[in-house]
Amino acid sequence: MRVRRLSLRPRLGSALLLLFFALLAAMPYLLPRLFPEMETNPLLLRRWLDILVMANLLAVLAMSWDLLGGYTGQISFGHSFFFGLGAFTAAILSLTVDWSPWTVIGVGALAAAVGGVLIAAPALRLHGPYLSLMTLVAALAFDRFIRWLKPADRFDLGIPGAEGAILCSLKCFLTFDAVAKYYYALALLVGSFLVLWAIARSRIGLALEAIRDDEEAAQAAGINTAKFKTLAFSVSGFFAGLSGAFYVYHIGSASPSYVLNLERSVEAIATAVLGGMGTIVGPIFGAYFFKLFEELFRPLEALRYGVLFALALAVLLLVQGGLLSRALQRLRGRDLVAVPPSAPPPSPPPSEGLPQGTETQTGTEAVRR
Amino acid sequence: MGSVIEVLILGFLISSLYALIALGFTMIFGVAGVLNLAHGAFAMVGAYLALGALEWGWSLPAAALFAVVGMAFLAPLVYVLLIRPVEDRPIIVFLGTLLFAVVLEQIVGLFFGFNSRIVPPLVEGILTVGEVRIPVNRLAASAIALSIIGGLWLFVNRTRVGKAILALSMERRGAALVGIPTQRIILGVWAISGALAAIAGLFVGSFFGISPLEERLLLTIAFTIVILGGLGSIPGSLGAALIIGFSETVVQQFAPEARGLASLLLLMLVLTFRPQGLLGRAAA
Amino acid sequence: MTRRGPKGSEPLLRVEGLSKAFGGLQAVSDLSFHVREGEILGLIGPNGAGKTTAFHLITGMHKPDRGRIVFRGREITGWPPYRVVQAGIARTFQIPRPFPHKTIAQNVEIALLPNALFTLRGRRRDRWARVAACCTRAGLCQTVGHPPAAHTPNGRCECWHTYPGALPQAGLRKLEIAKALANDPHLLLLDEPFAGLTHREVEELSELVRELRAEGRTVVIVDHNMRGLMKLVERVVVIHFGHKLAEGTPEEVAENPAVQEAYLAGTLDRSSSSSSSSSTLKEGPSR
Repeated sequence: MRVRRLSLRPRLGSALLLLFFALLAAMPYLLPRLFPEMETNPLLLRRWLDILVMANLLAVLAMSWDLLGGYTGQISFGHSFFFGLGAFTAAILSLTVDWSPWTVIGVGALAAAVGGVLIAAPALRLHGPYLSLMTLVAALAFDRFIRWLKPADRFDLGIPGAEGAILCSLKCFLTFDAVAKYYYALALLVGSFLVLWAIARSRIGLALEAIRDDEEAAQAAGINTAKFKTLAFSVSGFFAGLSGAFYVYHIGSASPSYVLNLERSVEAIATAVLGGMGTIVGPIFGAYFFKLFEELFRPLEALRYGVLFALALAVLLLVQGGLLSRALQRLRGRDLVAVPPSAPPPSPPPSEGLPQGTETQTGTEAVRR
Repeated sequence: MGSVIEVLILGFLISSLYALIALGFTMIFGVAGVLNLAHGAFAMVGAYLALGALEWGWSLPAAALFAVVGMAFLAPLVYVLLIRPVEDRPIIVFLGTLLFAVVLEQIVGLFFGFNSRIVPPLVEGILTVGEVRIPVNRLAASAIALSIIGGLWLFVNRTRVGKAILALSMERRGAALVGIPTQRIILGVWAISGALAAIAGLFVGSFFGISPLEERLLLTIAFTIVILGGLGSIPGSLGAALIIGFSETVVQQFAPEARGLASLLLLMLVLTFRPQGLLGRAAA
Repeated sequence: MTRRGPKGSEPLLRVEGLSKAFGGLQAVSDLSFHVREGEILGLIGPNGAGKTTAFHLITGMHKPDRGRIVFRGREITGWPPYRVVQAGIARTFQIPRPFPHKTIAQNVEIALLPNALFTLRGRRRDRWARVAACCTRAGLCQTVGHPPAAHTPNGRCECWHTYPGALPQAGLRKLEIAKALANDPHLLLLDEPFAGLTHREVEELSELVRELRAEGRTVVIVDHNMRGLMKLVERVVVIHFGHKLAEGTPEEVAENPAVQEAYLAGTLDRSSSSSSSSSTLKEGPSR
């Protein structure tokens, strides 16, 4: 697998991305300088670093969705399945075996990759809406299964939580050091991005895009579409699971009402759409925009999600739907070959008026039943 | 024995309701080629339109009528404003209707909150047959649902407009060539679909209560039935509605903890081994 | 069965008793024909006769209900499309199906991608050399308005910067052929390559087909009329309602009463083959 001079090309986009990563790396030092209240109140700094960790996890989840949805054209409505598979595998392993956190997180991701292959097996024969329904059904069924199984009660794992949740906070933690955890999450983001981006820009990515644009024509061109679709499912599952497993080590529990909530899938889709589908890099900005918007407009309560989803819808129709990009392409000429027509929305920097509240999401809850 | 009869009756009542939900969904796909993932949200919005009208002090029949007419007006509007501009991009339509549905959830939640609300029953009272007790409202709802389905069948098969709709579902360009006003008919089908969704939403709201997020359940049911029966096939949808309605009722009655799981696993099997659905044609 | 092969030698492609129904529609029924090594065969028939379905069946895009397909002595019935391509059969689509968001060069590159996930073959540099060769071969470099790739320093032409949307109909047909050539096929199946082209473009494309044959490739061309094919093909198989109706040289076939019947008298009349008196009837809409 040969990758064209990975991100070293002196292109504006790559330079901006490097700058963005550098900015993220400097956050633990920048935040207290920018907001003196954080210096006096370490809890506040910790809270904001945790928010950024969540943004990174959402970014990895959304990038994994993008490889499958944006690049391969296999629209998954059930990424919570992979996220949850990684999360529950990690939670259970952390309580039952004595492996290092990184091994457990890695195995959680691998379990989700296997889940991806299992989903892909029937999915290979399915197209369009059938496939999307299959992923949705897998996510719903896994949710019901965990709620019915109640693994914590049944197998005496950790502290049983409501609705089949597993609390493993004594076993599944990375570090008490918020700054160190922040850097772990940042490394997760950068590493996942590099791998996914390398795949997307390689010949494999080209094959995936061919499948997305016209599966029959791709077959006629000699591409083994079944193989590449399975690959896309397993890689996507791996990174979604990685995000889920890391989440468990961040929060200290795996609860169906969060990790298996359809909200995770919808968020991943909205994030990928906000940042630009089929770009891999877009979802990173989408995720930061999403999480910061969610945090900064906390007083709006549930309305935030309405605004975010409406924004995603607008981006989808105007930018992805081509209403805007057609006009833009005409303006730009035909030059920017690899740069997709969707510019990532600017992520607003954390600003004044930091509201307080809990870190977890409160807006919406699980679908009943 | 009583429980078996109860299951049979309840299963049938629920099935007719599910059929109503699925019908509008499959019509839009069959005729307009759009898989409208906001269909569940349409049903939910329909129920809340009625709840809103009730809060303004309207009578129940007036509120129900308002909901149905309102959705019959809103659904084509959504089509014109959101879907038609990107109609040739199925992935965009697919994601767009999904995102629009979650936006609708949030909008409704903003005005009414996210808790479950109950639409008052159209008809009060409980019918007791032997040891089986059935709310009259459910019987009425089932009767209305079935007569709507029957009426729709007659409309499609016996009237000129209905035949034009059928022609359109078979071959859009051909239909346009023989002078069928394609756009007007598609708008009409969206209106019918919206009205059906609103009626279904009203009944769901009076049976089980409804909350903004409930729409996902309705959508999943409609999606499941339509895929099980074969996309675009109305008889298939009716059959699948019976299967889903009965299996859910049976499981609910005899193994409530596995509720939901059973029909999902059934659906996964069907998708794996007979992806075109039980009575379906291949996906377009 | 029809085993009137060339003097007992095994034909390149042998189709035996192929049948396929879609719902109640019998698209192809008990179709048998063969393709000889190195020939240009015309597969003709009225619209809806089952020609395209036959292509779909041969290339593995549909599975036949009955029948056998034997290519170079190996049965390939029911193989997935990519294996058929690897075995040496490439096709074009009736309506060109480029990947619209990819440059012309990338479109051709897609056909060159190895299926192995990890391989030392198929380095990007080698692929691009092949892409340049295929684009030049199919005449795409000329079409996009630049000298053939062979003459430019890095072996690339405007195909690297142009999207399929900028190509005229004839250019899209060439792109289809370039994609097919990328797989280096023994047997090239062209589905209505001439539909909607001007007379000059038809000539140009015919010349390309002859050159490809001269390179040692065998070509099957589907068309619903014989007009453009008369001077190009050596042998014709006529399909009607999914059956083989007739077979022979263009002259023989055009005089066959059954064929004339099928075409409502005279559409196949070769006497007007190169004139354009009634060409509007045969050259269907460009889509």
